Amino acid sequence: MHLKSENFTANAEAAVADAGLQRRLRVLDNFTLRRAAAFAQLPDGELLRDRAREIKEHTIANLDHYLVQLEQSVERSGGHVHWARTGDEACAIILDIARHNHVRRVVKSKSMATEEIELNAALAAAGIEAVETDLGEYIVQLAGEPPSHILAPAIHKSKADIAALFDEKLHTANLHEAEEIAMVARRMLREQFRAAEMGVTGANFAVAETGTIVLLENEGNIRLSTSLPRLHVAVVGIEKLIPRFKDIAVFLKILARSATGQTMSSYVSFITGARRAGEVDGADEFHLVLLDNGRTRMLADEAKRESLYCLRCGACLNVCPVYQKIGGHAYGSVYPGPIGSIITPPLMGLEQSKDLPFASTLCGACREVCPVRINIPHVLLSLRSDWSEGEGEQPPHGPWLERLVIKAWAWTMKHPRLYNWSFRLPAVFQGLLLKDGKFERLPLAAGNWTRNRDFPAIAPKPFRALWREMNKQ
Amino acid sequence: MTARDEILSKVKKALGRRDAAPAASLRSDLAPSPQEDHAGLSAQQINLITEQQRPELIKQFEASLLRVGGRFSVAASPRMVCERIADLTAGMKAKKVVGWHSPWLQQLGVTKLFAELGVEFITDAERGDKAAFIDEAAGAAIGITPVDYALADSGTLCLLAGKNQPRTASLLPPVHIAVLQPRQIIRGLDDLFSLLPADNRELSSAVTLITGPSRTADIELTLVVGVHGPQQLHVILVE
Repeated sequence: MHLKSENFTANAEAAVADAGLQRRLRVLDNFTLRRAAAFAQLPDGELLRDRAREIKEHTIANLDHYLVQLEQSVERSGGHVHWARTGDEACAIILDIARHNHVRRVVKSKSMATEEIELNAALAAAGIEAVETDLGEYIVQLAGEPPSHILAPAIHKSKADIAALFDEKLHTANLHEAEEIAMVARRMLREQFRAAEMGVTGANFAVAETGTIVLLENEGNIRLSTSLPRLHVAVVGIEKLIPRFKDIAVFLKILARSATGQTMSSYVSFITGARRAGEVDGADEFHLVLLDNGRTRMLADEAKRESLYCLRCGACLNVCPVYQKIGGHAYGSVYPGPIGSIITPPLMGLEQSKDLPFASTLCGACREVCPVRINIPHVLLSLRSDWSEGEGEQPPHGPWLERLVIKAWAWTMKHPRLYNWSFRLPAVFQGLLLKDGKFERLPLAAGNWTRNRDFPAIAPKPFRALWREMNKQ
Repeated sequence: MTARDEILSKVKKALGRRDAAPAASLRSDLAPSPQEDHAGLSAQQINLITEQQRPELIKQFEASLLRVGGRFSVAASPRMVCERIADLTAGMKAKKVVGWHSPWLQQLGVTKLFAELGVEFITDAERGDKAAFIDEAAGAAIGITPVDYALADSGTLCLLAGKNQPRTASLLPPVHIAVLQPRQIIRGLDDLFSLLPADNRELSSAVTLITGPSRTADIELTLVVGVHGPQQLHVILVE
């Protein structure tokens, strides 16, 4: 199964009709409650969010400088740095390292960047077995599905679904409890960790000053992937940089809190190069693959640049009324939810993902919870405008009638008297179209709006009139 | 043009930059913590502060550790440390234990204890080869390590990988016993980042922060403890 963003409307309708999925998505509220509780215990939580944003703003605004510094730092610690313009180029680099070292088995730790570049398919095509080791990722890999949530990749599956899947693929009859399932995965994956010659991870942060990559996790699979295999390859988007080693502290205080409501994730690893003389474990070689794949496009567009500040915490997914109803798969992108809707178009192209910027109520809940205060609604509007009005060589895509109506509306709003009357008249005549005090169907293109919901009736007295009366009293 | 040069030139173009990279000392004014008085302290200053606050820090560490599912005990003497370790070893019916090659553990009598118990105790001094040590660690019932720092406000242990401080001793066995000294307990992340060197020739190749046992919530958000790493984390504070 691989849903596409092009079919968003159909995907979303199917998801809404799936009663099981609707039940499972309800647990998202737990994330949101825990996040709020975790931030409440931080006396300076809001200041920390400001500080984190400042650091990201500063880093992205000086990215050329910090990229070169990171490269030098990694090389000074004995690591190797590779640069990849595209996903294909990143895959080719990793395949090259694998071939050169006769790698047959790869263990992977949950990494959005390697999902984005479809590394597993590239490795499989070269006859290299790649196993996902995060429990949720392992489950969706067994099922042949993409992850449906940045943090909880298998959230769309019930315990019974997973038990049946394990029975089918691993012949483990009679699994009932989550604990039993997890223990089977522990046993199966232990073998993989010990056999693999290469561990592939992403990174939450890459520190320019020291060449350190920072990895947060709860399970221990990242520690295993970076400690056991001979090679460690980290695939890192160029936006993941932070300037100084001590800047990590700011992000550690807010990231786990935003993501799962934990004070700290169970494990945080700061990896600086390969193992050194006298060390008995750790990778023998460290490779950093710096990935562009559309990120410089985001950087070039000032209205969308802040999308690059994202920490991939998933908080915006959990609070989004659209994600809560349709889950992750309907978006048809590696990055679902509000953040996915702003980073998928620059990565995949707006033509292929045109529905995503519209899959939002613009309620602003995502902006409220974002640890680095990305103004997601603002970027969504900018993308909508690119689509409707045309951008670069792209022609405008909005229907001519819609564009005409919007232009007329904008003109009307600039003329108060006209604006006033534009409501008065319909308020008088709307009675003919109303049913139980609501519009069940609006005419023409506006009919799309009322396909699944009612439109409220225009109030007989406009707000401005009420305001005047109130002030008189 | 190489991929590197092309990406860098695209970045420069996107940022509207014409000249070479800006100065290295960019925004040194940007403090890493809003609690300015916590950041950038010297090791001596931190020692002084944590010494004064020690009883509270120990209490806070214990409460934080218990909250994340770790277990805590205090040992008033080396003999009590050994008793506690002996109890845990018996509880696990352990035949093999791995650990760090540490003079301090030897002083506490840990090496002798395992010899008396007839339990094989293996450190990286006995198995200096990677594959051999990992084999032992994967077959051990318990991993036992000292720690480098402990953070009171989150119940976190900080372990620095290096010679005689293997990463997998605290990772592969199902039980991790961490032995801690009171002076290693600091307030939190701000203290830790004041103490760790920001120079990659001095910095450990792998700094690991451990906050409770391994856990997952990937199945219906049900908490399961011990998916890939240790299922139990025992911290023994040696007073």
